[in-house]
Amino acid sequence: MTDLPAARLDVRGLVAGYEGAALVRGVDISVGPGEVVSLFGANGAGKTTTLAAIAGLIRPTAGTVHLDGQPLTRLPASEVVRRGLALVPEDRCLFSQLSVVENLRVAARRVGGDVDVAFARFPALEPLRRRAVGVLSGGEQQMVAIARALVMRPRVLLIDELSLGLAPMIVRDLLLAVRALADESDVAVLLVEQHVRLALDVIDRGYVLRQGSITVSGSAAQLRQQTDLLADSYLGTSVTA
Amino acid sequence: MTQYFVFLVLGIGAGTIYAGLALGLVVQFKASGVLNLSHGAVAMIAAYQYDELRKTGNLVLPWIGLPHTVHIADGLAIVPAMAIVLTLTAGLGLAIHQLVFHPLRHAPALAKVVASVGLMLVLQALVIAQFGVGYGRQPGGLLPAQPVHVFGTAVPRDRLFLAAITVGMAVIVWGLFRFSWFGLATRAAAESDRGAQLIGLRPKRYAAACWAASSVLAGLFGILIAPITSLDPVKFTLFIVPALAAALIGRLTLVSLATIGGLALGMTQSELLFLTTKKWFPEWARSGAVDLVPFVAIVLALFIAGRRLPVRGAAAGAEPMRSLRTADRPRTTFVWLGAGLGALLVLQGAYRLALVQTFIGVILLLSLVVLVGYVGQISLAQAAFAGTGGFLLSRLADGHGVPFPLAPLLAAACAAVVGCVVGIPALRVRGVQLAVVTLAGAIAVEQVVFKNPTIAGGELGAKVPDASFLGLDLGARTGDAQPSIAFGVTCLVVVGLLALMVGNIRRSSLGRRMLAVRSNERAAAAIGIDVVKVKVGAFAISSFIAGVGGAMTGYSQSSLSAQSFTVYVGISLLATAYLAGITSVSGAFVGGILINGGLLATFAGEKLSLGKYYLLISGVAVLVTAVLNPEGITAAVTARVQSLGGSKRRGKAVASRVPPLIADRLGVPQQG
Ligand SMILES: Nc1ncnc2c1ncn2[C@@H]1O[C@H](COP(=O)(O)OP(=O)(O)OP(=O)(O)O)[C@@H](O)[C@H]1O
Ligand SMILES: [Mg+2]
Repeated sequence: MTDLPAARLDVRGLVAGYEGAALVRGVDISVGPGEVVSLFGANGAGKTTTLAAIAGLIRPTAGTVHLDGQPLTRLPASEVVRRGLALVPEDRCLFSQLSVVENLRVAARRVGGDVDVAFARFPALEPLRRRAVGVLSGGEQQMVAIARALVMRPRVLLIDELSLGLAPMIVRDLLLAVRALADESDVAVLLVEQHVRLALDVIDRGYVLRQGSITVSGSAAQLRQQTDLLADSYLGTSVTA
Repeated sequence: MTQYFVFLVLGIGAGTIYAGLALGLVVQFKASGVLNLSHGAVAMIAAYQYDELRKTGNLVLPWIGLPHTVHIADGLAIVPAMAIVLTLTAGLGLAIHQLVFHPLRHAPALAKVVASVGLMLVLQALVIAQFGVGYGRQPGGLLPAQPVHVFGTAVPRDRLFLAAITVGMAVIVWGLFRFSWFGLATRAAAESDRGAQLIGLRPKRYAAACWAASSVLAGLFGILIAPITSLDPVKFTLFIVPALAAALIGRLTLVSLATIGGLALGMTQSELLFLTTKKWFPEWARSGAVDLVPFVAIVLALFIAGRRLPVRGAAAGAEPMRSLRTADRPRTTFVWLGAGLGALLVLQGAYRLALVQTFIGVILLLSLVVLVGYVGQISLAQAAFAGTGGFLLSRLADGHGVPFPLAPLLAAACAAVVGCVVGIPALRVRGVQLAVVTLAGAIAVEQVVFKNPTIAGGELGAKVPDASFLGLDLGARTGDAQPSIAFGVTCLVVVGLLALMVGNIRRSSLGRRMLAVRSNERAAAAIGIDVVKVKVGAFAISSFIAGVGGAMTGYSQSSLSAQSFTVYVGISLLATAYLAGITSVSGAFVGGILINGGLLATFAGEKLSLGKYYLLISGVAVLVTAVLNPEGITAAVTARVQSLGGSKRRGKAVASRVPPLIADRLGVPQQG
């Protein structure tokens, strides 16, 4: 089974769900170092479930997850993140009563406590250092959420709903920031993004998830050709951003 | 003048344990968002263990049946004894977290309250069973107590040491939370379970460490303070109430204010105690004046800071509706009543006495079905309402010769008025905080009213004459078989009327409004339900029923004492009601059988010679039920029967066990 080039993140035959019902049925995903890959799909297609299973928040019932060849399958979330895979969840799960810098510091401790990389990447956070995260705007909170994942120096970064509730302008900035991150630091990024057009401008490849299975995959260019197929996968939702 | 100062300084003694416990309460709240009512009992058991080690060198183990003492060494010195006890106390704290509050972290407030009072009863029963009758134990002094001159006044030196230790500990706790990475991680883990996991923390560990540390603090302060307060399982456990007051003053999060609050409460009480000895202090107000202090502090803290108090966990959202889908049918009630009548004719002697206790217990538990079961208002004060009914009955019947059905009805009506007054705080606070208010209120009523010789007859008790109706003698002690059948039937009739009434309420439109308030106050208000009316009404109905129960208690004993209505009676009532199933009339009947002094307890005492351990066993049962089977015995049996009958109504049961991901989505465990 070593016919594929060595991937940073390698997911094979992943099956996961809640209370016994398999919502994700045999998903294969691979992301190489420095690559930005997106997972598309309609609401309820199982994107969040897939990421949660990869990150160890829920236990997959079958399949494997490897990071640089090391198995992560069925490890608890706190262990997965220690092995180099960080998830920015859909609901962010920030510590809202802690300040921005405290949120970063508590995450960074294991890898030396350096939080400056985060402020370098997101200069907009600099003036908000001491502000409680709970009072920040949605976009600012999303930056903190990504920054919190970054300070842990992950080799794989999963971002669920990068743009949830954000204006398209901010989404573009965040996407570009993620792109730059992958280019500069070699991290493998797997993101879920609803703004398909915007996303296709920055990603390398994409997968389309439909009712728990991957139906389409390919490079950004290939996907752009098949926007009708993509639209179909969204079960009627338009592809326009 | 100097006397005033001396008493102020003396008050540091009690203030130390209040502050020390409050410190632990704040730490536990920060870590897991629960208010642990058994924290005082943890301090108590540590102080007993320490005293035993110092005096006999014996370690007392928590099981029954097997040998429960291990001799370690004769006359153990202070440091090893302290080290052993504090290590054990840390273990106790870990066990409490692991076995009780961690599994209950997403449970509704009621389950948490019941678990913590269950724990309190278990620890207390354990001390009584294992350390022999511990009343009046006097541990030797730990700190030098020679007088020292402050501002020219001689005060005991130990109080100054205690103040210094308390402040020192508070500074350490504050510094840990404020400046250490451990504190930061704990705050983070407490805020978002999943957020903590996602940054590689194991949230449970931080909470566990906090529970161990806070228990060690409780143990330490318990040991330090025991020589001053002396050891007594009843009083020591209740240090939790002023400690809760202090913690609430600190808004459950501020170490500094909680500590100052604890010390201030102790000093205020001591000063007040001194004032009550003054000639000008009104005679009738002397009893229990000191116990009013924490109650007033709690009410003020909740009302002044009410809106700013952090509300965490399930208390913030809707209480899940459980086991309310089937209303009690009158038929079931009649089956219970028939069984009661049969038992009354068959049973004799101690068992008939127990049966009457069971009947009265059913009445008291019915009062909780309305209030807690239907409307979700947690009350630990039912014994206070019952006592109000009982003592007023004595006044009316003995003092003014009011005849039988009228006197208890009037007494119960007055209890209903008291219930309405107590219900007023319920308009602003709910969940655990309401439990705290009712707990403090129950203590205040017990000390100020029931133990007040000028009101409740003092040592002799309040007399209650036998009842008679239409020429029939209904007295409990008429004839040679006591209690008499006539009295038993009277009780049973009262039980029947109230049980049918409570069952009817559930099926009426009032009942539906009550359930709506219970499941979600805001939604209920939004569909036009007058929440205030429903809540106050529920308090009135509930305390009326409890008042009738108290009146029947009065008739069953010729003279009433405060002993029948202590705060522990109220606590056990809630625990028993929960154990048996607090949402149904059938649950009240089952609870009546389980109640202390009821049929099962008598059977266990007479036939199994387990009487000594009944409190312990029932406490453990409550605890286990709260953790494993939050719906109570009756609901569990009903569910079993239904599933045998092939009914497939599992939806609700699943809903009460939502996996964390869904719960997160519903916003249950996190705050905004
Ligand atoms: N905790 C849970 N328990 C049970 N079912 C769940 C849970 N979370 C999600 N589901 C169900 O699983 C299915 C897939 O959900 P998932 O969150 O993975 O979808 P998604 O692709 O992320 O959708 P969206 O675009 O709306 O975020 C949905 O039908 C959802 O109802
Ligand atoms: Mg999703």
